[in-house]
Amino acid sequence: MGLRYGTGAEVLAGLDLRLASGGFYFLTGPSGAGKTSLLKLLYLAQRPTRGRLRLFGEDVGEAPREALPAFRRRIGVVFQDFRLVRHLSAFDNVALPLRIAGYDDREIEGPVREMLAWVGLADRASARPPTLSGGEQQRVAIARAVIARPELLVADEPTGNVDAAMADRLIHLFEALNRLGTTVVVATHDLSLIGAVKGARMMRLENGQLSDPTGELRNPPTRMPEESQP
Amino acid sequence: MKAALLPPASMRRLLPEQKRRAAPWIVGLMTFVSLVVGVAGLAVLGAVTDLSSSAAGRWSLQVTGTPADAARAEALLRSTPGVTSVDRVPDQELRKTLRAWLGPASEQLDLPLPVLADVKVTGGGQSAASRLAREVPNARLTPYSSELAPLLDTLRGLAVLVAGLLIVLAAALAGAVTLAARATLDTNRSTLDVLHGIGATDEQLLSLVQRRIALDVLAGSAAGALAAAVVLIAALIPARGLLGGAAGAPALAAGGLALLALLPLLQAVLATLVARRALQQALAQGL
Repeated sequence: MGLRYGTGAEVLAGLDLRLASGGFYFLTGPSGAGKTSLLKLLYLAQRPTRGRLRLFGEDVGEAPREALPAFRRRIGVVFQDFRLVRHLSAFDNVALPLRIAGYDDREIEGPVREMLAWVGLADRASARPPTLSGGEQQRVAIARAVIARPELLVADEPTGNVDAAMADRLIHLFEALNRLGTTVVVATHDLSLIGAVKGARMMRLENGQLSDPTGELRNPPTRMPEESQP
Repeated sequence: MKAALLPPASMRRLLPEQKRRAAPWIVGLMTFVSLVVGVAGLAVLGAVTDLSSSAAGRWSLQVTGTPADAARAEALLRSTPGVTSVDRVPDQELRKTLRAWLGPASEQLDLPLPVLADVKVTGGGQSAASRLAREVPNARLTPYSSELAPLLDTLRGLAVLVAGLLIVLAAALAGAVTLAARATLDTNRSTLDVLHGIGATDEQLLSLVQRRIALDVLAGSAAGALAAAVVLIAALIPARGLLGGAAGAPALAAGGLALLALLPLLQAVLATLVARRALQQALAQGL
């Protein structure tokens, strides 16, 4: 795949990768290497300008616009800048994916409270984002990304604003999701996180090109059958 | 469409409330002007109908010769098939009219007055007019409609102008609503982007924005209609001429008034559809 914005140079060039369904991946690389652009392709905010993008076994690069929301509902995203809805409470922000998916208030109440408790924000459910600290906002963003138990979780620097203990806890949340079958892709500068997840693979992006310091990307794990690729 | 206009409350609050919005004011003003212009148009159309119907089958006999010529002309017309009545306009009434035009001096001028008569004809009076012209050269029979033709043409032209103005106003409303829809979209862009990113469909996003615009348009239309009703009632009650046509029939037909009453609703529907289209186009520009 390749990706360029407008008529500029390609920010991602000759990218060729497969992610195993149920895998846990860390994406590293210097600032401006194209990590966020690669994540945008994964969470369908961009289409590749060349090449083919297949998600959940389907060619989404060519899929019609109307088909994309259904794919997006299978993906959880933690944005670097959180992208919380400022006028909604933490509860309502976390509940967004469920509301969009058509669940009613009674069905939403329990899971959202539980998720807020899990990220340590049970007592901040009615607080609005501007009144939350950076770390709290990040935890709300993570809770929102995982509440609908996505098949693919994409996180851009998810632990950038939390302390080490919370970072550890969040990574364990991602691991728990991963154990339930969610494919996780985490872009991070924090190399200590990489060692914290057993079996995780690392991808390194540099100047829009992918390298694989662990040497594992070109030798996919044995449990990655062709038809179950996300 | 119902689902699009009536998203559940939990979805409705996904867009923040905005207190200062221009759309209701713009729509209110447009509705007010449309209704006032529409009533004026209906009054003009009513006047055209009244004048046309009152002139139908009516002719005017004018005799400038001797009283014998006048008597001959009247007798000839009465004996003509299709002529149902010949009513002479009394001299006194002619002099009264002359006094109204020329003032008291008209009585001293001793002007020669023609004999005038109101003639009612069924089935066209052209043959009676031709026969009269042959047999009483000093007599002339002319249809009321030909005398009223310039006025009726002018009134019809005004009615067309009013219809054109209403179309222009509808186009202006559509333009204003399109801008309001795009402004609402821009104002809430960050929220809509988040919703879009987590899987909201265009229809879900449309329902949120469209509902708000529909409510704005309905509120503006209702306020504009109320203001127009107050102004029109205040203006029309003293000016009974607008309410009563030339023949005493109502100048503003009930059907026309019902259509005017529906105008705000029609505008609301038009505006909502226009806004929906504008929003669809704007959303389709993104992925």
